[in-house]
Amino acid sequence: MANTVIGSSIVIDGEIAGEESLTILGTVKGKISTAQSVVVEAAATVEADVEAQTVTVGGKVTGNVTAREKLELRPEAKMVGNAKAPRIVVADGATFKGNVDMDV
Amino acid sequence: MASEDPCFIGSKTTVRGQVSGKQDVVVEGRIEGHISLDSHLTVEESGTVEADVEATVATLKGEVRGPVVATRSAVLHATARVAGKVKAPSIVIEDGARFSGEIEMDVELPADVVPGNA
Amino acid sequence: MADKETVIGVETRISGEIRGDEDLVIKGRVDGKIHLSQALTVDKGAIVQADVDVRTLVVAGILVGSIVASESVRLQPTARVVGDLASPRVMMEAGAAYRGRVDMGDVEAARAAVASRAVAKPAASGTDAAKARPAPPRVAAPPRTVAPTTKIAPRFVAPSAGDRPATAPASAPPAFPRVAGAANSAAPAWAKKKIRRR
Repeated sequence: MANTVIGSSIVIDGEIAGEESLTILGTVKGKISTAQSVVVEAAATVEADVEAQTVTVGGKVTGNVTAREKLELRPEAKMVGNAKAPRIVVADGATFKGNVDMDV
Repeated sequence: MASEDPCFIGSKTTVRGQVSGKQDVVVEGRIEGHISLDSHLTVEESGTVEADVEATVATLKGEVRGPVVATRSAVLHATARVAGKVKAPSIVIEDGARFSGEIEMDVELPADVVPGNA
Repeated sequence: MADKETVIGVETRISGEIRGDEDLVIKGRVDGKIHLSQALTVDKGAIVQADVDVRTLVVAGILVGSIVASESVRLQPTARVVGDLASPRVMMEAGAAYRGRVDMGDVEAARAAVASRAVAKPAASGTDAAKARPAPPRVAAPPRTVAPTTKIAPRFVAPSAGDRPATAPASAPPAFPRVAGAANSAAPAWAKKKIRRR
């Protein structure tokens, strides 16, 4: 199964929609939605609402995140926005500012 | 190229909007909008690009609609289906490629041959 | 594939209309119109300024004009081509220079479009062009050219078969329809011609 990788020097201003996993190393402004997972790597910047099965944040995310299964913030994560997921993991070191709704 | 990490738009992904960057991009899915790359854009056979495209090299094997401006070269492979304008200093069209549109290259003609007099 | 081949030699210049049912290789210079049911090759070094309607076209030299090829067009690395192109199969090799519209769809419509443009064009341009050429040898007189390199098969309908001053008007109505009787190149004439062509 092919996965989508948004490279580190790439800037996308718009919408990404898919049925497969997305790995973001670059910058995305707009909206992200997929039936699979979204991984925001360390140097990445996401200014978008994110909707996916699982969301793993290792970089900067500014926007509302909805994960149908699980949201994970890694130690380098910096998230500002509302999180909605039945399971949430926030690692030591991650910064997070927003509302949390686990009642999914 | 600036980075070694890939930029790959999978076959089940659609990107709508502006895509810009300095690294090679390979598209097996769909991009609509604007693409502006200081690098190599490859549209694979399953890829669809409906966008204004600017790149250094454009390797087209899939469906491309929209002006394509490549600063170095554009290659339409046998499976390409391209419509619109293609502008590049070097353009290659392989047998089997389907193209409908305008091709803009600088063509040096001798002084006494002027288009339009035929 | 035609077994006969006509070659327009390097030192030959033709101004007018060439029609035929055999392969044509141009190494010299042609201005006007070329209408073949077979293959046209424009060699490297050749200069063709003509509307071209052929079966297959291979260009390694200079070609300026509208191109209709019912089978295929190949531009080789030394080709320099300007003009709209209609053909179901188009190949452009690395190094070829081209500018114009490419249509791989409706070749018949493109053919019609070229013809109606030919009618509209004022005769003056062709005539002036013919006069401006410094003594181009007319096709019918092979002796005028470097004989060994130019073989013109009698089968060719050369413009100088009475048409000399009418070089430009030759590109107007009488030219396109092969049938002498067909007066105008309006759509009906095209429909008829479609059948005869093959």
